[in-house]
Amino acid sequence: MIFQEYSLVERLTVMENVLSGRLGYVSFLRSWSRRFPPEDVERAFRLLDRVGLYDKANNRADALSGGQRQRVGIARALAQDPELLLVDEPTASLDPKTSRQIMRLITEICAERRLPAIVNIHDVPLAQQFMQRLVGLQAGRIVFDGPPEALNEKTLTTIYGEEDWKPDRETHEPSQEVLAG
Amino acid sequence: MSTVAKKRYPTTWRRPPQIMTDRRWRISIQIAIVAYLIVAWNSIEVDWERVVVGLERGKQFAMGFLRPDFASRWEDISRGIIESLTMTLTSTVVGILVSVPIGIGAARNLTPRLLYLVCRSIVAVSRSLQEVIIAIFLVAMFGFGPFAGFLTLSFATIGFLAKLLADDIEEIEPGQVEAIRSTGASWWQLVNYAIQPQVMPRLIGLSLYRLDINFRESAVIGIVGAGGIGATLNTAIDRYEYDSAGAILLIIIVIVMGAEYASGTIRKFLQ
Amino acid sequence: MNTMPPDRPIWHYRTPRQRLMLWFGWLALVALFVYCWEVMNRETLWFFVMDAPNQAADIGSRMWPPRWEYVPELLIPLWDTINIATIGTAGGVLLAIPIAFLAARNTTPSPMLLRPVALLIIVTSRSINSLIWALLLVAIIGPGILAGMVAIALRSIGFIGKLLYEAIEETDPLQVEAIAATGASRAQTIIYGIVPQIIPAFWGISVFRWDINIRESTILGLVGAGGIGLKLQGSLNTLAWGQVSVILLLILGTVVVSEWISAKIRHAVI
Repeated sequence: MIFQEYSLVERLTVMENVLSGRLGYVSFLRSWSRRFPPEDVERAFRLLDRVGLYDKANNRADALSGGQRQRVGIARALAQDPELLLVDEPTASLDPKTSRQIMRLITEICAERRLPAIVNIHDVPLAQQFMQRLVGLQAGRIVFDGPPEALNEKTLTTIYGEEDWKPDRETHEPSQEVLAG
Repeated sequence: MSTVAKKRYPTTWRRPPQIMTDRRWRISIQIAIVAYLIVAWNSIEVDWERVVVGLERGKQFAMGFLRPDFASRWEDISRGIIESLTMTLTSTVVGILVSVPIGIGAARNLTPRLLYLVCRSIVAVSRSLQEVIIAIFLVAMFGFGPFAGFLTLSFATIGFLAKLLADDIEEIEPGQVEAIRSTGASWWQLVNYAIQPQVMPRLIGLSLYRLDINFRESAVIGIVGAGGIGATLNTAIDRYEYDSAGAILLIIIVIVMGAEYASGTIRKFLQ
Repeated sequence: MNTMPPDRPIWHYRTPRQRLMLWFGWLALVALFVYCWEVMNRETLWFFVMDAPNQAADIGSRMWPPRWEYVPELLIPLWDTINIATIGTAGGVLLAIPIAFLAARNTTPSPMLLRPVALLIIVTSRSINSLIWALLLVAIIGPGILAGMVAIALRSIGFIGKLLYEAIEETDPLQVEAIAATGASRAQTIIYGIVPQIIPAFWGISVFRWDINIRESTILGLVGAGGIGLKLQGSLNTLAWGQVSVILLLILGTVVVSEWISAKIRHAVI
């Protein structure tokens, strides 16, 4: 699970935040004393390296920028060894450039690991750019299901109501996408 | 995972120290703490035989708590409670009345320098002396009984309220003060229109809180002769009447809980 | 104001009904005050009260100059007082931590049973002043430092427990949820999600209470619970006012120093 507001434990170090993804696998005493099994520590370092934060392992989470925090959030989610990645508005608190970097990182990692991901996102262009399949929801009902190219202004109007849907305009839509796993 | 380059990563990780980063400092402070605990622990002289005897009494006291005796000393208890309650109310009212001018006097943005220093030193004296110590002196001067207790609590209230009031006044919006001042208002009008509305809600809240504290303190100063329920409690414990002592403590707890609940409700109502 | 009907041209801050209520409230308070004053002073001997200025002048003249030779004799009791406060605070903190977690709405294992018990312990500890705890403990385990330490610890439980459980309830639930979502157990969620968030509050509260406890432990000796208060009691009983003033000055100095230390530490942790 990757969260909208990163939801890192602010006063813990980056490494502890990543290792907290392993909490479901280790005993209480090990987690209390921060003595995680060597393979967990190794995995955490590898994930941090993958998201580009290897040097920040000992920094506290509240010392990081928004994009860096979301990278830690990704590493924590991957540390859980998931079979499906749930991503809730990963870019809601980020600027457009960082948003693209984070989305690219998520899709790349998913491709590397052949990991399916369900992403909930309001930013339509972002979804069209990075996703393979979009699902549009309106009041809990599916109103669109198809590849990004098939999404048109008419569908957007059904979801959000009347608006001038020019390309590149920032739009909001709840959509989902599943990478074939 | 096969796409990730085969690179060796550390397999151990220790959380870096957060506050003291110098290892030597950390260790010497840890040693100092342990040494202090050993020395301090050794300064305790315990007469274990006395403790064994005492535990029996402790059991009696616990029983007294479970089966409190309100009846046999009811006259003393009710007198003590009435003294405590009247002392609490009168001292809080007088304390508020005196601490408002002193609090205004101790606010740097309203008063001339000399008056400010005088008021601040009254506050400092009142705050740094324990209620019990003040009570000892006032009992020596005014004789035993609730009047000395009333004076003690009033004095302590002044230190508490005047300080918080003064700090509040110093923190108020200067803009609003300026706005009223620019209408040509006198000093009194300024206090009435610009200061009072801003600090009044908090003053009421603090007064209710102090009422609560004064009751709790009124149970203590009786031990040194300043009247109230504390004197009754002291006598009960001296006579080993633990069931009466239990009853008194239960009454104190119930009144404190009631006062806390009531003041919470009143504060909510006022907001 | 323009919309006001012409027959009511005068603007009132409050409606007449509100004003009546307000006046009635004030009147009731004044009446209550007068009544309480009467009851309280039924047995006051005004002769003594009138004599107070003379008494004050008398005591003042006896207190000055302070008997400085007495200081060396006070150092060990002062050390005891500091130990009572410090070890008492440490004990109170250790006992208060589990109680705070039981009392906080978001961490309590059973809101119906354990939470009320924890809240009751907190209220009991808070309602009873440390001097009264000391009075009881001196009767139970005998006079001495130990009674003082236990009294301080028992009083501190309520104070620290209350502030700590409020801090626990105010933690950011998002951070806690994120940890719970990793499949962590309840205990692990507390350690990783909640503990890091309350650490600064915890140190601040503990040091603040230690500062208060230094003040309170100076008087515990009055009921026999050790420390410098014993010397105060002795000097008062023998009417050695010169020694009393030395003791008070020493207490004042200790309090100022402890306040300074506590402010420094709180500044460092937050």
